[in-house]
Parts: sequence; structure tokens; C-alpha cells
Amino acid sequence: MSMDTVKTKKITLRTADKEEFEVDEAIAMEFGTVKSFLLENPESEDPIPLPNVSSKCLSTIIEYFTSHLAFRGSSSEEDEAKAYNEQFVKAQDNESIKELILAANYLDIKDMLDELTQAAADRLKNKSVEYARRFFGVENDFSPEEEAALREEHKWAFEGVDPDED
Amino acid sequence: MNYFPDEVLEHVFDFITSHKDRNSVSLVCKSWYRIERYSRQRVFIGNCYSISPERLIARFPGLKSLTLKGKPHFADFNLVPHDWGGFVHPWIKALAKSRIGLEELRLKRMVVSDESLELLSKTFVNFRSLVLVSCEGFTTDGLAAIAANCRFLKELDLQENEVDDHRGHWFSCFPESCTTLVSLNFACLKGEINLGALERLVARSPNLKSLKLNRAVPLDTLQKLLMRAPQLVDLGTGSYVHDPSSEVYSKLKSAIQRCKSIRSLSGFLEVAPRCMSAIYPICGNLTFLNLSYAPGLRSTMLTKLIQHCKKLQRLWILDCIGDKGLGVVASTCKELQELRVFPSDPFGAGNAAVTEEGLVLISAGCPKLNSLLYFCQQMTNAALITVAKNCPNFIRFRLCILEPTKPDHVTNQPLDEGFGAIVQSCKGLKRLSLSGLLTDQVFLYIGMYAEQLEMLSIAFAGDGDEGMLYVLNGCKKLRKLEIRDCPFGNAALLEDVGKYATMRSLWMSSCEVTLEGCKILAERMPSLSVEIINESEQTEFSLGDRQKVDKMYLYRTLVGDRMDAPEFVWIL
Repeated sequence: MSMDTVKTKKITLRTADKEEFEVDEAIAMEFGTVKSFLLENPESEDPIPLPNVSSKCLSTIIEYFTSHLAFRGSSSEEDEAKAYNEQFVKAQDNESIKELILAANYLDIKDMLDELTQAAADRLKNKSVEYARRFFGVENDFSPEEEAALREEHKWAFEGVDPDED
Repeated sequence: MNYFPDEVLEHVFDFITSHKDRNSVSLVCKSWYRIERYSRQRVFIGNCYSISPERLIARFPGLKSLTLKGKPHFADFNLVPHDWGGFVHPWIKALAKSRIGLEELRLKRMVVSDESLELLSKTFVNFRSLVLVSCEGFTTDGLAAIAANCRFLKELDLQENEVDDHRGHWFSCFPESCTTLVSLNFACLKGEINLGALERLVARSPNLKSLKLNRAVPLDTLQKLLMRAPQLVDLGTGSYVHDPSSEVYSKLKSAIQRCKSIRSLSGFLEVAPRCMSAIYPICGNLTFLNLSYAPGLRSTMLTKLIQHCKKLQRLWILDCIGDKGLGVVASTCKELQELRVFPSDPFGAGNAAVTEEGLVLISAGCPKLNSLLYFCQQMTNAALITVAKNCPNFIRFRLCILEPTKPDHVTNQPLDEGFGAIVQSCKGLKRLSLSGLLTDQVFLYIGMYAEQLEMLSIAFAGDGDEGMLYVLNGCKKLRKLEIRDCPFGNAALLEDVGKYATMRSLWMSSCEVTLEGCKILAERMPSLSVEIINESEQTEFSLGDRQKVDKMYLYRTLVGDRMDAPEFVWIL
């Protein structure tokens, strides 16, 4: 029997910037869109195109899963994964978080998307409206009157829980 | 710029839960506003008259959990007449008409009718949680509707409500299929309960974590309930009286020992002190102990009990514990964060149960203390200064010296310096209640130092308008100000009318403010609702402008003057 049949099957993915990545099937199957594609086209040997994912993003995602798969089966899997995720998220700047969210959404990677959206939410907590606009690169399209009316509504009606519990 | 699909943004918003953050997010741009408003599930409205149910529903069609507060806080001291307002019915009616899938309703100081409860129970199929605090206007018939119709009820929590108890039968209205209860509190009900129905309900509620019984539930039923629910985390006993040599008592002891998860204990509405030793095995786990409804426990018993409670974080107790007892708390409860000492005899001849000494001992022994409610007979500046030094972390500080305008009992001076020390030391102070003899000086200190103060209660204090002005000008974060029997008048009221638009509400009763002053205020600030509450015989037309107003309550509102005000309330 040849050694080849024992080797892990590799899947080739091609990113938006035309780079090709060979990944273990186990990792590729974590991506919902890739998994569906493979199930529908089991015989295909062609590289799978991912026009919405950059090579930088994909290599980060692959790194993420390579680490996670290494934890699988270990007795402290949950703790290790949690610790890794904390570090992983911390290491990403705001631009990367945004890119990764879009990539994870496109690739249909549920758990990673949860982690990333939670991370983005954490970065927005207790921040100003202006910060949120800058973070997501969004323009304010409220008129000054509209914005003032909303701020008043928030302050007067929907302000939040009392600290005094009286 | 990246394009974020709506569902991705919604996913991010799922993790943004604080009201403040959700408000910020909704202001980013119009599409964010749209996505946020469809996904907001929890809303807190601190004054039910600040906005209408229609506007709430229009903005947040995905609403699942609503908290509403009605009457002003001084209603707790009987200063607000019964029919003043705070009716929940218009809210429930409007919500019922809409397509909102309400699941949780929390109400404080509101008037709730049986009709409202019935409509609520029949309209919202996924309704899970009803919390009523200091409400009135309903009977056990309304509770019967909730029990019978809310198929997935998880929480029914009744705290300090005035309920007309039509006796027992409502308990039997929980259907056999109801197995989802997590929290059940009916301690404030006065009447009999169908004990068999209660036992069966607890037996079929495997998720029950919090159970607070009323006086009508005897000790032998308690024993049976604990046998069925050893998983309880929060227990309020009903009547705790039995013969300690009986078999029932011995069974209770073993039942309690099996309850290893109990962290919170209250009740003992009727108590036989000799039965308290059954509690000792679980005391070591307690983080919250509430004995404020147990006047049957004397100081020695309380002390004995507390000595077992080393992990206590919150303690609510009656002043019969005495200063010595507080000393035992101080040396035992090193994790204590909140202490409330209630008067056992508020109109009594001054059996000085707790004094400044007890408070000083607590402050010295419990460095984590951040929340205090302390009813006492006497206080000194020196004690308050020591407390301020020992406990700089107060967030809530409410001192209630029972006799108004009582000075420092050693020096006979006002307590200005003592409270001044508190506000200077406790930089995070959000809630403050003053008492004793106080001049304008204390308000100078408050205006100068209490930068985080959000709520202030003043009674029988100050010399003149300056006092009130120090507070209004200095406390930038002030949300609620309630004043009674103080020499503050129109000059203070009218100096900066714009200030009231930055606050939720202002209450002034038995002060120097006149009708004319209130009228001027109402005219200058159309976005405020200025209410005059006049319970005397006089009609609107005979009260002269120069006459002092008995009670004034003003609040900002987005929807103009309310339409449900009774005859004795005039809205200017």
C-alpha cells in the first residue's frame, strides 16, 4: 500500500488576490461554504475560489483552526481554546477584526463568527457614538435636529437602570 | 470601507446589552438605528410618564422585556396620595393591541389592576416573568389569572405589594402542566395558601431556584418543600415556629442540611428562636441574609446566627441587633458590601438600639462596604468622619436619624462636617440620604465634592435658597432630587430652570415654593410637567399665587401632560 493513501487529503483554496492555499481537509470542512461546495462536487480537483476573502485573512483563519484542531480531544480543550481565543482576539487590530468578521460570515464559520462579533461588540462597549462611527467607517446621515431629538429621547425615556434601586 | 450585511451588524448588536451602549449604537447612522431598534429587546423606563406606550412600541417592535417605574420615591413615606397615578393598564392595553411578544414585565410603585393582569396573562403566550415591587391595586384574583394562563411562567416575584387577598384558591390555578418555575415569591401576601397545591407545584418544578413563602406557610410544610427542592439557591421561610423537640423539627434539620446551594436566606416572619439552630449548617454559605421582617429574633440570637455567616456580602437586619451585635458583624463578615439596619420601633421612645458606635465598628471591620441604609437614634460628626476614612467606596449612603434636626449628640453641632467628610472621601457616591441637624454648609460640600451623585434625599435641612443652589449648580450628574420640609423657595427653584431638563425629576414638599414660582417654572420650561398635589379643601381657583405649595413634583416628558391625573393634581 502506498504512503499516499494514508496522507491527509488536501483542499486547495484560491483567495481574492489569486493566492492559492493548500489546507487539510479537516480545516477546510470547518468552513460552511467550502463544506457545501465539496458535498455537491465531491470529485472536483480544482481550487475552490473564495473571491471575498483576502490571503491575509485566510492565512489568519487557517492559523486559528490549526491551533484549535490541535486542542481537540485533549482533556483541557475548553480552557485551552478559551485562552487561545482571548489572545487571538487581542492580537487583532480593529481593521483585522472587521475583515475577519466579513470573511467568517462569507465562509459560514459559525463559532469563529461568534467570537469575532463578540470581540467587536466588546470594543464598542462604553464608547462614544463617534468612536463607533470611526471603527466601522460609517458616515453620520442624521440631520442635527434628528440627532438631537434622538439623544433627548434616549436621555429622557430610555436612559438605563438606576444605580440606587430605590 | 467595508460593507457589513445587516445580519452581521445584528450579530454584533446581540452582544451589546447595556441601554447606554445600545443608545449609542442607534445614533451611529440611520441604517444602524433601524437595525438596532428592531433588535432591542430590553427597555427600562424610569418614569412611566416620560414617554407613551405608543412611542415605545413604534420604536422597539421587538420588545420582550419592559421595566416601568411609577410613583416618586417619597411615596414610600406616604407623601404621595393613593390615587396619584402610575397606572399600568394603558401600557398593557397598548402592548396587547400591538404585535409585541412581551415576555417580561417589571413594575415598581405602579397601580396594577386585576383586569391588567388578566389581559397580560391572556395576550402574551410566551410570557415568562412578572416582578411587582411596591405596587397596589390588584387582588389574588389577578394572580390566579397569571397562574392559570401563563403556560411558560418562570418567575412570579411579589415584593412589598399591597394585595387584597381573597384567600388561598389562586394557588390551585397553576395547571399540572406548569413545570417551568424558577422563581416564586409571595411573601407579601397576607392570606392563607392552599398548602397541598404549593407542595405539588414545588414538586413538579425541577428548575425552582428561588422560593419565598408567606406567613401562612408553617414549618412542617417548609420541611416538605425543602425535601422536594434541595436545589434552592434563595429561600424565604414563612412562619418558622415549632417545638424543637418534635419529629417535624428534626426532619427539617436534615432537609436543610441537604440544601447545599442556598446562598440567600430571608423570612422568619414568625419565629421561635429555639428553632434557629437548624439554620446553622447552611450559614457558612450565605451571601445574603435578610432578617428585617423577623422582630422575634433578639440580639443574642442574631449574634449567634451571624457568627456562622462568614461569607456574608449583604445583611438586612433590625436595629434590635444593637451596637454590640454590629460589632460581631464587623468581626465576622469581612466580605460585607451592603448593610441595612431597619428600625424595629420607629415611633418608640428611643430605646437606643443602634447608635454611631455600631456604625463605626462596621466601618472598621468591613472594608468592602459600599452600600448603607442605617436607621438610628443618634449620630456624631466624629463617627461619620471615621466612617468616611474607613470606607471610601460607598456608592449608596443613606443615614436616617429618626428624630428630625437632631444635632451631633456630643457637640450639639450640625452634622455638616460628618456628611461633608462622606462626600469628600467617597468619590463614587451615587446615592445619598441626609438627616439630622444640617445647615447650608452641608450642601456646599455636596455641590463641591459629590461629582457622581445621581440621587439625593433631603428632609428638614438647610437655611435658605443657597443650600439648594449649591446642589443644583454643583452636582452635574444629578438625576433625582427629593426634598421635604426645607426652607427652599422660588429663588432657588427658578435660578436655573434648564437644569431640570437634565434630571429625571424633582420633588419638593412643605418647602417655601409658592404657586407663582411653580407657574413661572412651568411657563419657562414647556418640556417639563409641573404637578401640584393639593389634598386640602381648596380648589384650584382659590389658591392664591402667593400661597405656598404643599407638594410639587416635576419631571421631564416627551409626551406632554398626562391625561390620567386625579382631581387633586393640577398640572401647570
